[in-house]
Formats: sequence, structure tokens, C-alpha cells
Amino acid sequence: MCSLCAALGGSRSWTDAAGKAVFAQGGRAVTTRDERGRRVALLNSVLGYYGLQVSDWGGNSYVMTNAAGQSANMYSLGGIWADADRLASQHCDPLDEELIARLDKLGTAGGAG
Amino acid sequence: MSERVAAYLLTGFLGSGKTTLLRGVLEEPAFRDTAVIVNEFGKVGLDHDLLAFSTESTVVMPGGCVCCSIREDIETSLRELFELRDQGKIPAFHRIVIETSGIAEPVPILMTLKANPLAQERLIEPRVITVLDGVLGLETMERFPEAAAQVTSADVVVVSKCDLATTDQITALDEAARASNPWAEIRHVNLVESRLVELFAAIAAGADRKGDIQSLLATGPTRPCASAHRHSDVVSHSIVLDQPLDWTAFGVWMTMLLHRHGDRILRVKGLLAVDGLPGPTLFQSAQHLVHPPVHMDAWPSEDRRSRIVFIVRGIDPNLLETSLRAFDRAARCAVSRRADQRSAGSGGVIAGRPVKRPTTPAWIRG
Repeated sequence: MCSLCAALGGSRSWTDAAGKAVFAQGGRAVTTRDERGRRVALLNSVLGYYGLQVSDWGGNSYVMTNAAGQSANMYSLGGIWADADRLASQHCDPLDEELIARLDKLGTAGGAG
Repeated sequence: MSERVAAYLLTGFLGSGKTTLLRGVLEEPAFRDTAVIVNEFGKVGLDHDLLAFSTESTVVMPGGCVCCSIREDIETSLRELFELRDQGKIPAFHRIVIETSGIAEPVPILMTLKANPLAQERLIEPRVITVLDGVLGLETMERFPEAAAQVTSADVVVVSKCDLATTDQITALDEAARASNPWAEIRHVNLVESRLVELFAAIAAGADRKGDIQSLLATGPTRPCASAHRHSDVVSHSIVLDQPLDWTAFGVWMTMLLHRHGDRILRVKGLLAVDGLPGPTLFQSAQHLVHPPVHMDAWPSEDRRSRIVFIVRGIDPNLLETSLRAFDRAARCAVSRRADQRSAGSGGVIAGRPVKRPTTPAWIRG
């Protein structure tokens, strides 16, 4: 438990790979830190389109902020999207063609570099 | 630990014949050890000892939609049944049938059973049996989204009143049911004359993973405009991906997709090739309900491509594939960018800008 915020540990999600023996990358098990780092990096690529930024909060939860400085704390990946809608004041949609184009551009730039 | 009890969710639109089916089954001595939760009080007189009635009482989870709601009535009935069983006040039952109301969607009940600790501990993963009216079923599916959802959620579709329907009607209904749910087993019955007990006894308890995997292995890609199955506005679309998926990308994409469109993503089944995993991952969801993915040790065949089948309503299926691929590429790129970054404490370059190692301020150094 976090003594500062009294959080009782992050909730498990079907998306979690850390701690599962079957997941191994280059012979190494996936650590929570590595997994959350990868997840936050992708979330920022996606939510940047809506002017939002996400960071990991102590390996236990996520903190999301918008350009106006409003923030929200959430414990699971599934819980991020309702707050993203609220902080972005619009519905975040993975089928939005402009978002897809932006992600394609990011993917292409990464592949070129 | 107590023996787990087989669980069946019996659903079907108003007048389809659920109760007749259930009554026929419960009359048999072999099925006297069946507990029943009926969702409509006073609708029928089931002469049965192990009977609980519930009235719909729904708790909507914060931020959730209707299909994310928890059915409090089912939780209460389940708890009461097990308490009575454990106290010896009712005979030990070996299966539970939950009969839903005719206009209920099955997903909230499945969601409740998945979230409820008692159900998780005492029940085998529930199977959904949907009774479809052989005469009126097609029209009902087209007119009522609840009826269509009952079919898309089914493990077994029982087409009733086959003695009253024409061959053309049954053929059209079978096609519509297969288009909405290619994985469901379809059985035809005459509720008066068919041996309903044999039908029910043949439905195995628990998830049929072997069948799921075999059906997914046989899946090829479809182009929705040319060959996807269409029934009303429900579309079945399959995609095949040659490259393994990034699991982080798939998780972020799927949670976002189901949050935004879960009420229209009726079913997803996929056999996924995931980066770094030796075998495939079986993924399944129904609306907002995601079953825990099953990571397998080895592929059953040489073909190691991902196959995902979507049953959607009112969504352009082409966008699903485009979006998934974009998220996958972006994840790989985001991770490679992250590898270039170092923490501020070490100095170096962050996001292309040089950062100096922090030093002790002059006023402290003296």
C-alpha cells in the first residue's frame, strides 16, 4: 500500500503481461516497470492527439493531465478512457480516421528513423 | 473446496419457448438436481424445489453503459441459493439455470457472474443457450437489438417451433443466426415432441476452447463489401495478420475500442500471434465483457498468423483493421523513442534537447 495516498495496489487487468511466466522478451520475463513504461509511451502517442498526457504513478496507477492543468488518477488501463473523454471534452475514438493517420505518421517516422 | 456447479444462462426473446424448454427438462428425474433462477416473478408456475425468483435490479457501474451494469438481483439470488444449499435447507444441486426475461441482454448477467467472487469460486464458466422462435425469429432479430444480442452471445442456439415453420423460414433463420454468431452450435427442436433432456444433456458445461481454436484456424480474411456476412446492420468480418502483434498495443487498442464502441462490438474472437510468445493467445469478448485471454504453449498448426473475427453493428469493419495496425506500429515506434531517453538525473538528451546533469546549487555549496 502506498503510505502517501493509501492506494491498495493497482488492479490486475487482462492486458497485463508482467508476472506471467509465458511472456518472455529476449529470455527475460516482462517486468511491471517495463510494461507500464511501454504502455505509457503508447498512451501518450494516442492521447497526445487530444492534448492529454499520461504518466505512471509509482507503478500503481496512472495520472492524466490536460493542457488546462486538470488531472485525474486511475488504477487500470480500462479506467483511463472515461477520464480521457472527460478531460479532453470529447469522445476518444480509436476509429477516428485523423487519429489513425497521426499514428500511422508516427509509426512511419519511427520505422524510418 | 466445494465442487463447482455447471451454469447455464437460458435466454430468448418473449414467447420463443424458453420456459417450455426449461419445464420439459426439469420434469426429468435426472434433472431434479437443477437450481433455477427465474428472472420474471410470477410468469410461470415451475413445480420445482430449487427455484429462486428475481426481479430485475440493476446497478450501473460508474462510467459504464447499460451493458456494463451489474445485475444485483442475480447476485442476491445466487448467494441465497448457495447459503441454503450449504445450510442443508435445500438439496445439493449440481447445475444452475438462470432464465432471463425475454427482453434481457445476456452480457450484463455474464458480466455479473464474472465479477462476482461467489460465482467465480462456485460456478463453472457459464454457457449461454438462446432459444430462437422458428417462425418469428428472423423478424424479431431484425426489429429488436436485444434479440440480436441474445443470438450473438449464444454458445448454443435452439431453434424452437420447427414443426410450425417452413423449410425456407428455418433456412433463412439458420443463415441469419450463423451470420450473427458463426461459433454457436445450432439445434432444431419441436418443444412438444423433441427429447429436450437429451438436447440439454448434450450441452457440455464450461468453455469449449478446443472448438473455438479449430473454428478460428479455419478462418480466412474477408472483405466486408464483397464477402462479409450481412444480416440487418450486423456485420461479421475476419482479419488475418501476418506479423505478430505487440501485446501492449493490442491491450491499449482493445480497451479503447470497447470503451467507445463496446455496445456495437457484439463479439470478438481471435487467435493471436503475440510478440515473444511461443504459442497463440485466445482472445474473446462480448460487448464490454472481456474473457481472460488464454496464452497457449504451442501452435496447433504451421500457420502462425493472427486471426480475429469481429461481429459488429453499425461500424465500418475496414476501420478496425486499419486502426489496429496503426496502434501496433505506433507502439513499436513509441518504445524505440523511449529507449533513446534517459532520466534527467543522468544528464544527456531528452526528447531531442540536451539536459545537464543537475548540480548542487551554489548557495548550498557555499
